[in-house]
Amino acid sequence: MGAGPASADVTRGCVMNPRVSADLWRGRWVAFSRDRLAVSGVAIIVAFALGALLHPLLLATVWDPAIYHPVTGNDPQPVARTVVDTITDRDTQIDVARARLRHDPQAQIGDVLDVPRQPAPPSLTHPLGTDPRGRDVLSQLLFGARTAFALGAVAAVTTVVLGTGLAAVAAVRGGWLAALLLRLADYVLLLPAIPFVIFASAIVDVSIIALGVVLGITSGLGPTAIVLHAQARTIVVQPFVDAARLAGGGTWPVVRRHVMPHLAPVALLSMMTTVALAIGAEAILSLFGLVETSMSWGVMLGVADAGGYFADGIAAWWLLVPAGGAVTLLAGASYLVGRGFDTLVDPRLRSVAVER
Amino acid sequence: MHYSWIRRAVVLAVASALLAACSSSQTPPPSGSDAPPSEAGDAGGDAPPFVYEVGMFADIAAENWWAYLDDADGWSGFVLDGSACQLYELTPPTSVVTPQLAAHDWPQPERDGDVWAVEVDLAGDATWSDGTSVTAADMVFTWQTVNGLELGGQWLSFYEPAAREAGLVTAIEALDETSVRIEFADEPGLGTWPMAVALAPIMPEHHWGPIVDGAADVSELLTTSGAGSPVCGPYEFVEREPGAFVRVVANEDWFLAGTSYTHYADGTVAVRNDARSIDERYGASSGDGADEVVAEYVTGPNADEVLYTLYSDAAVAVGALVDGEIAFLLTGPGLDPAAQDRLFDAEGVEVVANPNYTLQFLGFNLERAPMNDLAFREAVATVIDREHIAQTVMGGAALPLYTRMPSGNTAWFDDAVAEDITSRWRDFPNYGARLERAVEILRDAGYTWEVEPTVNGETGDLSQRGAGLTAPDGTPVADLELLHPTAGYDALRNTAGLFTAQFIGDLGVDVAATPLPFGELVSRVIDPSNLQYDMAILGWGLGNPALPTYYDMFWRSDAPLNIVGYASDEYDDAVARFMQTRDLAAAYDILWNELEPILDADLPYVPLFDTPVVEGYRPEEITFPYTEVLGGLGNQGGLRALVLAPE
Amino acid sequence: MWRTICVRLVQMALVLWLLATTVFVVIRLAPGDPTLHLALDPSLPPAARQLQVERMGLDLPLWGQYVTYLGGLVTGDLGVSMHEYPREVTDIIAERLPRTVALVVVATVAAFALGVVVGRWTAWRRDSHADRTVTGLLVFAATAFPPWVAYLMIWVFAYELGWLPSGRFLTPEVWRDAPVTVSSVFLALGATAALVAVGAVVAALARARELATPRAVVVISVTLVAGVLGVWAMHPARHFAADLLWHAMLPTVTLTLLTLGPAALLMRSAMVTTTNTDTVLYARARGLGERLVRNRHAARLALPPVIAAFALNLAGVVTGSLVFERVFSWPGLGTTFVDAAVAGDAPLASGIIVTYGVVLVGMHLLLEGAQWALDPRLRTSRVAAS
Repeated sequence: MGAGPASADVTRGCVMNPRVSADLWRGRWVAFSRDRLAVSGVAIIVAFALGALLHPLLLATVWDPAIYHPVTGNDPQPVARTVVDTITDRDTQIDVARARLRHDPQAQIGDVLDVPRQPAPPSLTHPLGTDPRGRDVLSQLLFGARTAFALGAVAAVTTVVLGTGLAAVAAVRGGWLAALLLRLADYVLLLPAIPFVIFASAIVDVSIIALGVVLGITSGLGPTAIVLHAQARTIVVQPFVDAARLAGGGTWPVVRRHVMPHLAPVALLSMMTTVALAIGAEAILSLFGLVETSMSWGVMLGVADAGGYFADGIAAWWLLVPAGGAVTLLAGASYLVGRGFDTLVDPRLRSVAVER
Repeated sequence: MHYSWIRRAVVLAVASALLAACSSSQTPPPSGSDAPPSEAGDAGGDAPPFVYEVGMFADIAAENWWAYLDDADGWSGFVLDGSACQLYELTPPTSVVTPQLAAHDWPQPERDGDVWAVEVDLAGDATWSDGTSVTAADMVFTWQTVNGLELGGQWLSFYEPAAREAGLVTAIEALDETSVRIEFADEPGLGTWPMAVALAPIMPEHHWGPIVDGAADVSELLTTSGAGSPVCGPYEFVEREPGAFVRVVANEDWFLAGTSYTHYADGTVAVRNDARSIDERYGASSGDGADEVVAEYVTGPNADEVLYTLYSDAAVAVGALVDGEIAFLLTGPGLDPAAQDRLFDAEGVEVVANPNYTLQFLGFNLERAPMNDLAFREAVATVIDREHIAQTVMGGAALPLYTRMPSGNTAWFDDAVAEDITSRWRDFPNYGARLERAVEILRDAGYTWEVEPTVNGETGDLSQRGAGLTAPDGTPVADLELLHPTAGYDALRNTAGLFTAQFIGDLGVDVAATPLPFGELVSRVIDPSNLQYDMAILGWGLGNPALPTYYDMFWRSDAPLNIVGYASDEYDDAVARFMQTRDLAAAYDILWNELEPILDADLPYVPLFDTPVVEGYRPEEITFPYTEVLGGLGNQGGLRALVLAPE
Repeated sequence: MWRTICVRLVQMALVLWLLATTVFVVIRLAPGDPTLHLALDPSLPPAARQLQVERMGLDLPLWGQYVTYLGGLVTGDLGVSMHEYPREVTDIIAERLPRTVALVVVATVAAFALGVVVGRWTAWRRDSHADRTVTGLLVFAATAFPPWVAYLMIWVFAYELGWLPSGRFLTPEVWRDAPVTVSSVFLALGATAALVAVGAVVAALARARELATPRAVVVISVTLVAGVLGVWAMHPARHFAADLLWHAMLPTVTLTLLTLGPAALLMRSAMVTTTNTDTVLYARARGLGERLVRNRHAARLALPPVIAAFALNLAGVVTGSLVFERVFSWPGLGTTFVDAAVAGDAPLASGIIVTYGVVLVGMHLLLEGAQWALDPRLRTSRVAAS
């Protein structure tokens, strides 16, 4: 696509002798660390990763699984409520019909009942409150981070391996292979990926891993391959690659030793974009109940959606803000980090960044 | 420079567009929610028309009866039900068979040579909404169309054509304008007569005849709009705007208008219509409660028009009811408990809770070990704490269920037998006692453990989960999979699945609860010839409350919906007698003395819970003559033929 | 040039064929029998199911089904929906597509136009506080979870402020007994929008090629817009059109906001790479004003890659529409698709997927044409973009 001509002339200066690749990476890191948005992205990702790692530890030590398990935990936190005919205060009263249906068929107006508080707002025992089934939201959030990372990792690895490998090989070998790759990428690009995944998941079971692989493939074969191929083409025309070839290097060693290191920043950019895409896609799919997972950020939002808590605005904010915010934050952070890598690709931008 | 001109032009254009948009949107007030009907009073009267505003959250797909009964969704039924008429009907709320077109109560079939037959006389005073009489020929036409065009779905279960292996009916003939003869291949049980063909809808031959003759194929008939078709029910379908709304208007000439129905607790109904000189009491009396009135009403139609507004999902629709945009909401598959709570807490919304006629259960694949072992099933049924799931986890949004007949079907529910069955599974002092009993059942059957589950004697809680359960023959019990719906599809059954898996896991077997999208779940479970699961949590709607034929559909050894591989000669024999009898009392006895006890001993299903139907309406806009009815008001189409404007 | 066009068309047909085949394979991969949903009703005899199997052609051998399926696609016969039985899939899509296209096109164009302006602005102030703040917001808009933003908008504008309706796409009380259908009004509105868009393009081209004086362009544009509005103001269906527009406001604005993020960020990074190019340096050296350099020289260079990248994002816009349509109760293609997928309605869902494919391919071709027209470098080279 259009990435070809645009990046062809901006990346010329980036290519150096591969022997100094250690310096190259150090230089990249220095430039990257000056990009405040990118660094804050890294910080967010690290924070979520720590949370995901912390979760099993918490369940094993301070959190009683019967109460804090993200899926089967339950803490009713009963509160005393007066049975009334017309509610004037939601926190201390309960409608008589509801009391009779749910709690005590003999309830009379004026009785005081112990009613489970589900969902319950944040408290000391549940820092982010509980959901409509009485489950701890913080625990779900941390568990959901694990799901998101598993998904993101699978999608990212699939994308990068596929995209880099194909793009580099096609760029080095050229000819029919490159043509085939680009046609394939065109096809995948035009495949309505998310609708397709929704469609497929409605027909065959889709686990989190399968979802990651499918999203990784659609991204890796489509946009990632196109962008990486354009980048790789600008590298293979460099004298040192020709030199390596003349010296008798096969396709794969040339790709590995000379092309790959220079593709890395672009590959990382694509990887992070894919992670952002995958996290959003999972949330959408599990919001509609189409993924085979017991708990994720999407499931949390789905539970809130089914109960109509979205329409209440901020009244039950702890059901909406943590899960929605986590999807947004992690996807946003991935994007920012990817954008940081993007800056590295363009040496002129980097120099500007360093100067300031 | 040059571009500034274009910019100015664009700004100008946008400004004028806005101006025009504002001015044109001021002419009519499309203020959203409570704009009054723009053209009031088609009837020409002074009073504004009484529009019954109902919300739905799925579009209807069928626009005529042919399609609706062929294979359409329930939502089409809400709109179309009550525009057809039939020989007899199941009169809500007690579901007693009363005549519609027929002149008298349903006759018993009689042997006539090789076949069995009934002859039914029509009252003869019923007309279609265009003034033509409803005749025996119309019923014959409908029967011939169903057979000639090979219509499927509910048409087959109503007309039961023997030629297509769907039942016993071999012929329907018009003896004259007002009498019909129906022939059966064999002696029909109650399920065939009167519970099927007597209730079969009848279509107007003078309208549909030419369309049927001219249709190139079935789908042409099915997609023909029903707008314009004469009806013999209280409402006529007139307009549908896909994705937005559907309208039906009152049939002023409905032949049953103004009939009064009084339902008594003994299972009888007194029907009175002076204009038609009818004053009868129908239904078999059970003896007690002959004077106790359950429900009493006079049929309308009172609303001039019913306007069904479509919302894309339940949460939005509940919001519309809470905000007063609609007067009643059809809840279809049911509302999430949190959405129900919004109705309870809303101002101006009256909430009605009714028992449902569904069975949510844990099904075992009896073709696989260890589910094929009764001791294992018994231990599982024991260890599942249904009270805990229903009361604590679901916050009281479900009722624990122990019999395969939900208590809401009061006419068929036997309190004494049910209590015996219930107490067997319910009465444990705490979870520990429950688990100990389950362990004992397994140990007695010869099961062993690597780690035997133990209970804290003081608190009655679990102290050590079991592990490494080994079958009596020495093979370790394999890891099992429990299929259940995703939270997005059905939050309650999803939760039930997670907890059930945890309870079974306490016994020392690894159970993975796998949430599956509904279509996928159905395809893995509901195919008796190829059962691809270990255990599954599913729910059935139970069909006709007047005769629970589902005992035959689900557990007869060669039944099409026997999805667990259950086969018992004793049960097959009992259920065959249940289906053949023509005496309701005998059927009742067979059900409670044989069918239920056999199933409770063999446990192909573990009943889990029943969810009440919770619905809301706005009493300042409409009132209902009764609100207590099995399956809820929505099941009766929002009682549109009976709904009243408030005083 | 004709050769290139023909090759592209053949390629696109090939892409669509591959998509359709993939969809067919996925349906066939399903372990179960697609008619099983019929079995859910206990009172249904098995004969009814057998009938449905035959009607759907599922008793044919696999290759027979494939040939029937492809033949159906070519002739526009996509079969009968199961979820919305007995309606034809083609009929359902024809009904819902205009609603989605209207929304998506308006929102995309608006987001693109705004995105170019905003991206240009932030790029010019690169690394200032204003840039960081605006870029942060744009990143938020680009990565925010779409349903979440949509619910937020509904809560603020429909519930708290009560300015705009949500939950329905028209007012039934206004439309009951209407002399016109929703689809016809949508088509009329779409035609109006297309007319104005074509007018705008012609005006811009006329300006760029200096075929008309600025004043003439203004006069013609204003006349055109006023004429169109005048026709609508006289039109008997104006109340209905106004009602639809009124309900479309909130979803359109939301989709615009969601699409604005990626558009503006793309423009920003494209502009950043052009700020140091020779053309821009030369323009500056000529002593042209900053504003002129930015808007005429830098932005013009940045535009082609932005259009190209936007083509990549079209699928994202379609995806976004899937979610927000449901949230806004907008009965377009997205809502229909999600419902069909959740219900396991293979004919309808696959029909919509293929429709999405056709729409994406069509847009892709159009954008490629636009790129080709805008970028002289591409015109001289025989190699098509990509």
